[in-house]
Amino acid sequence: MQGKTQYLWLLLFMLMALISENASSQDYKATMALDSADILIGDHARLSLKAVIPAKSTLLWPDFGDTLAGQIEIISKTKIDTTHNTDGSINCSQVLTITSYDSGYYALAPFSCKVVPAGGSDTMTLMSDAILFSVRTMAVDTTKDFKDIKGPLGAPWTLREAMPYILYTLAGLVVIFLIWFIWRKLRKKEPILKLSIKPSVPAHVRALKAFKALEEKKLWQNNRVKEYYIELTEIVRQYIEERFDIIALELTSEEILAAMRTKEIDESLQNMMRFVFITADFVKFAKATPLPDEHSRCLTHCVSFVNLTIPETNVGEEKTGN
Amino acid sequence: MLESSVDIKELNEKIQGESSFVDLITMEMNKVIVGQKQMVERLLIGLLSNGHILLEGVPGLAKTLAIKSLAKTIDAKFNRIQFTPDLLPADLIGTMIYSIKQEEFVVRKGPIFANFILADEINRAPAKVQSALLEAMQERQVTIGDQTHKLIEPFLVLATQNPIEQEGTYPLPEAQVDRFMLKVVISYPTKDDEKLIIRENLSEKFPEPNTILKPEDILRARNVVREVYMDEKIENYITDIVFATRFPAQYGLPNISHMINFGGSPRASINLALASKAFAFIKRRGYVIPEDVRAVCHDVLRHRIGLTYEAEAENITSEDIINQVLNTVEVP
Repeated sequence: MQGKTQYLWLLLFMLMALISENASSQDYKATMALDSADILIGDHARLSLKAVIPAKSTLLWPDFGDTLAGQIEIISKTKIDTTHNTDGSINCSQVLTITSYDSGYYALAPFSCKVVPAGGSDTMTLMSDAILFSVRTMAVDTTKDFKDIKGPLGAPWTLREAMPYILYTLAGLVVIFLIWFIWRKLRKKEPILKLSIKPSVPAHVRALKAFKALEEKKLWQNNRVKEYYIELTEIVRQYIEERFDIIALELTSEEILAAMRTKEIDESLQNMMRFVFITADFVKFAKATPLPDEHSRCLTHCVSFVNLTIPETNVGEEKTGN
Repeated sequence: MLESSVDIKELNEKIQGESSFVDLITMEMNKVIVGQKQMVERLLIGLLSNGHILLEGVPGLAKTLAIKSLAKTIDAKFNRIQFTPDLLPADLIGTMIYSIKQEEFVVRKGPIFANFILADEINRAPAKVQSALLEAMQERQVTIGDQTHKLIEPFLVLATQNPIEQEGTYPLPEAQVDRFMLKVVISYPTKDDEKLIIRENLSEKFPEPNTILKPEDILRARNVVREVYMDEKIENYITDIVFATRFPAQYGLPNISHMINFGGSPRASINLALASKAFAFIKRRGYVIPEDVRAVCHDVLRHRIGLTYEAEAENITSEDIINQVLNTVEVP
């Protein structure tokens, strides 16, 4: 009786092991399929590779080179496509476009990939079945006459191919035109090029114009005192920068005055500018409001400074401003 | 001449009165320190704006004497800590020791409990000691055992670094250097100043500064410094300068873009504004002008600009970068 029970347990255990093995092998699967197992020499065939693995497993997909077997070449490869099934398993697939330039029968070796199961450290190898692949040549009708090999077919001309010739022709025409143009000018004894140079506006002219525009804006009269002083100092700093080669826009008032001391500027003019800069700094940074006559005095000082520092070459020009 | 708005006028008068001690301190300091006007001025900026100072200069330039004299003029406690490779955080902040008399652990406070700390050769101590000091500088409190102790105010740390010797040193990481408000580079005195230094040191009695202020006066002055008026145009100027160190190409400086690894942090902007206010206060003005910003700009930014290897290979320093930025950013 006891021996029977033992046999029963052993049978049950083997059945369970078989079921679990079956279940596990169903979870992992590698397949390989050809869309056409028989092709004409040089034709393309699509080889679909597929692997199914359970969720959270890691699949190591093989890296194919440019040939599969010795005579079968891989023309292109798609990216590895991964999709999730409803039961949680993962499908990975790739399609290789293959061809062969040698006729014959080829056995495509089984597609194999490695899988690391979830939580496990051992690697298992999945393998598909091998496939037979045949490549045939053109059928030759030996009962008919042999014909000469056809010559190469001429491809139609593209614009890209014609472009260098077009460009060379255009360049040639331009050169011929230039030679003719220069020859004509030389014969007529005319200058070859007439450049019209726009005379640049001198710094003092620009500054005086800007002072005039500032006065017309009537900023301080409309309680926009800060704006008035910002613009006033901006104009005078711009003028100093252009006239005396001092980077006045990037210097502070004290630094500008110090730099002016190194130039040949009359001391009374320097004092005038000191008054302007100090007053402007008070307004700009200390919320000060100068008296109305000081606003116009600052402008007058700036105009005088510009008028009295006009370079000697421009002194003859008409002085404007207040 | 000018009808200044009432608040600025009042503020100016208030600052004229409150800042009168600056001249006194300067005079007392000048009794002892010959030349080094800039260092004394920077010490005052740090003191008035509640910021710490990193001093870089070769030995023998009166760094210790300067801070010692400053402490004496203010009737404040001064401690000097020589940083060495075997220094421990407990040597700095203090530790718990067992008192046989009281039969319990009692706190023994470290030398950091003083108004003025001279952390000499800060880069000689390992990172954990540097961190302990810098944390205390930032938090203005230290924890010994399970008790947190507030540090006494005013609290000013003056750390020194020797720029010559690099062997066996632990350079301060950028994040920690950023905690110093100013990095002042001290140069040698002039020939005339040096002659005077020799004479003073060889005379029978070395001059001593007098105590003219109390720590409370400094705390009061600090509040007044924060009141110094800063116009929006100056704020824009400060942000332009700091942003130009971060994105030079946007400010017409594409030639230095590849030389800057990282630019000034927002802490740089805060400290530049604060130091400018303190400088205006020292100059006895109630408002900040661009001169103030430019005067402190190098000291605030020089340790906050990270240079690339390319810049180092071309011998470009942060000073050059700051000069280029100042010469490009338009002054309001």
